Amino acid sequence: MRFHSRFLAASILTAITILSCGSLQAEVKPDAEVKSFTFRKFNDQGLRIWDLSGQEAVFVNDNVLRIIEMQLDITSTKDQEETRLRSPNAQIYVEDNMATGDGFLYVQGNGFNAEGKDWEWRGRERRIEINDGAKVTFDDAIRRILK
Amino acid sequence: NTAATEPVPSANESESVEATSAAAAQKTVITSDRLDVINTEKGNQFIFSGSVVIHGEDFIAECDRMEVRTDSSGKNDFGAISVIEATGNVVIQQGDRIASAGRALIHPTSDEVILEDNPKVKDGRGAVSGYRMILHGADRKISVEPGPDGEQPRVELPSLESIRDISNDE
Repeated sequence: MRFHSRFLAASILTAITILSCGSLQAEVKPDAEVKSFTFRKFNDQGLRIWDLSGQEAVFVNDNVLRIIEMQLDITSTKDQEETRLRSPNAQIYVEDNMATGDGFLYVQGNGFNAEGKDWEWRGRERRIEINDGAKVTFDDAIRRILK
Repeated sequence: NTAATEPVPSANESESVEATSAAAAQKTVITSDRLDVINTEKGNQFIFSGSVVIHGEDFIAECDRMEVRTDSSGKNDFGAISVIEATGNVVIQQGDRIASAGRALIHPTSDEVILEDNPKVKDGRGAVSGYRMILHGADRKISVEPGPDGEQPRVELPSLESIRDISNDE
């Protein structure tokens, strides 16, 4: 399992490096820094799962990337619905398909916007958790409740 | 050459502008201590917990926990709210009318609100309580159901003096 995670993380950073520097002979170094990048992840059927972009990514270890000005565009299985997560600071746990941040998170989804602090995104469960000061604005107006 | 695509918008500037404009007033805003958003096949499920407050077009409601489901089945507008379930110290205020209950189920598309667990609706003309209450927004009717143990619907009318005041006001 250890070899698998090292290979996965290395291939991700190689992909990032290639994407951002265009050179084919990318060399993977821990703590490597990559600027203004976009990285796309596909599922086994070749469908796009998410696009991860940011101003800067630091490769912390095999499984963790620290991202400055993160933007994560997640495609739902129905392919119509897309949810965008943005945060000034995020940690991406590549192998676990997860992201966390203790700062602000902004979410734009279908018919709603959400925000709050101290957050976690779990891709496998298609779940976003906000633990401090959550606020959601729905486009839908609710009128008659009691009258 | 770098593979930079469109510049990444800075997320530093504060996005949480208080919803005061007319457009924002049409929307539904919910705040709470914690939130879980789960993307499902049918749509999104929002679970709010801790000091939950919902601001609607001309009403406000508070409770301990609230679950909101939006619909992406295509029957309604994409992402429209299909049901709201509020539980724990539920208080809803709209104009001079106040409803309180242990549980409230709000169906925006059918304009219906179901109140359970000691529901009561009060306004300037009196108060109604019972085992279970259904507020039919479309035809502005409230039906009150008796309880399984014989709890009868109960109507409290205001004192005669205030009825006289009310009739003088009209």
